[in-house]
Amino acid sequence: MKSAAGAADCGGIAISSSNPHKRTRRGHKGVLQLHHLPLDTLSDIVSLLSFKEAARMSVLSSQWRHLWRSCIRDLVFTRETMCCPMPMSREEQDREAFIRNVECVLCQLDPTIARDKFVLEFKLINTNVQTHVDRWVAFCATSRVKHIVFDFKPGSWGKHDNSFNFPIHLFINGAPAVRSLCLMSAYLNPVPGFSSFTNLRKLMLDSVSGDIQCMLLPACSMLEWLSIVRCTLHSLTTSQPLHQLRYLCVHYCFNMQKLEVQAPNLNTFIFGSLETHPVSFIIDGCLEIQEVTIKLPTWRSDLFDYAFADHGMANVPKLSVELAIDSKVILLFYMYVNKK
Amino acid sequence: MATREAGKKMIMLKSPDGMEFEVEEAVAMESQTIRKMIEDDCADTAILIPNINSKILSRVIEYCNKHVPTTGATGAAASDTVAPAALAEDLKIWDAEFIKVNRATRFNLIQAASYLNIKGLLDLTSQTTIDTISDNSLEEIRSFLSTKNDYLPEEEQTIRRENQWAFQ
Repeated sequence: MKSAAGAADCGGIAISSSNPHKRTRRGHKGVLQLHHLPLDTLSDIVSLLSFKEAARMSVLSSQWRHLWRSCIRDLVFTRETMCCPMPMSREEQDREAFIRNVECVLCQLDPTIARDKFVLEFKLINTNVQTHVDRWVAFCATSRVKHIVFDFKPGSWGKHDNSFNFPIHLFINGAPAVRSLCLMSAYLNPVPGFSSFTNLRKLMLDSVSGDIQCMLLPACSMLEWLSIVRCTLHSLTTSQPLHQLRYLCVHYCFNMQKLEVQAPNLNTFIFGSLETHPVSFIIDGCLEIQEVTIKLPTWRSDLFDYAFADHGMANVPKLSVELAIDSKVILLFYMYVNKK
Repeated sequence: MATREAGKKMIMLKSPDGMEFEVEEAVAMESQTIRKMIEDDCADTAILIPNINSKILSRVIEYCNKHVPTTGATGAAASDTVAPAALAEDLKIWDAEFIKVNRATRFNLIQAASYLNIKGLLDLTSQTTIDTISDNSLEEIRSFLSTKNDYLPEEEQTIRRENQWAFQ
């Protein structure tokens, strides 16, 4: 390390600061304060705060209020973040408070600013709040949220009749911003002309009914991770190969008859069925497949034939089969596997 | 380009207040901004780093020296004999000492790390700032950030009401 003459006459190259966002704003006294840092740096810092802590910053000064509104990237609306758990509070009061608080936050935020994450988890099933749901999903669509999670019934199981309609028509332009979508306990209305999510990498549907197939149209070719659990789904077919698909889980779908997926680079396949009829599944030409798990509700050789006929499953490095079987047929099972 | 014994390439970094720092190329390349310039062959003689004074730049170089993988000034022998976990633990202790600086220096380090794109340093400085914010009351945060409360009392009440959930 040595000192030298002034920088002005140095023969080197200066790093140019052409990006206006990178330019530092300093106060008139020349002392660097946190809020003088470039917006994207501040945004990184604010994003390290929890959602609640970040919102609290809005009371510091009008400048911080503005910063909070423009910098917060992850919007996380859950019981933990939005509700004060009162020992005696009723479910209905909690729900009203939750909805009020979510609306309150969203009306402060500028929907034209892109956000990274929108998570909403709250037991709203069997309530009449569809208009709110529509507004929240519309916010996701307008603010180009990358990762979307809507869980209207976190932590509980079972079928239900009164699902929310997830207004998928709001994403009719292909929603190139959306990278992942997790949807739990919702209904998908068929939308004529819906062209799927063009950049979707991860899709998780749990207890979803309606037009699931519309999510898997050819436009969804970037899909890497697909999980469909407890959905009402008669058949699942892809019209062209999903080259990016690495993980596929189809679990406990009601009324399922047929699964036909072309995924040449599939790595993991998990299939579970509660149906006592044979479900035909064809996983085509998966040369990379490493791990397969099959769960069947009962022991019957015809179910098994379907599971293993001509799929090359026998050559999978790691194959697990879970059967709900009577101990008497275990011997039969071993004989069957050996024969195969 | 300057070279030193053992064939290590050297890079000259210049601060706006006229100091020059000769550092190994590998150390300088801890900064993604500088790495890109070197890879694009834009760093023949010296690189002027605007906005970052010599005091801060020397601290940044100190950080990069410590964090440059394996063949760095301090890491050369260590990587062969010390387990990676122990090395990581050492670095953590070193980082904790390194970041014991006053507020102004810390903000300047954030600015430098952001500008030079040094992820590790940016994470370290940002996280330390966030820890201070998380652990303190609003009044303490205000004074830590030198933020002047420009709200009228009624305005502040309105804002608290707007985000009531955050103050519960």
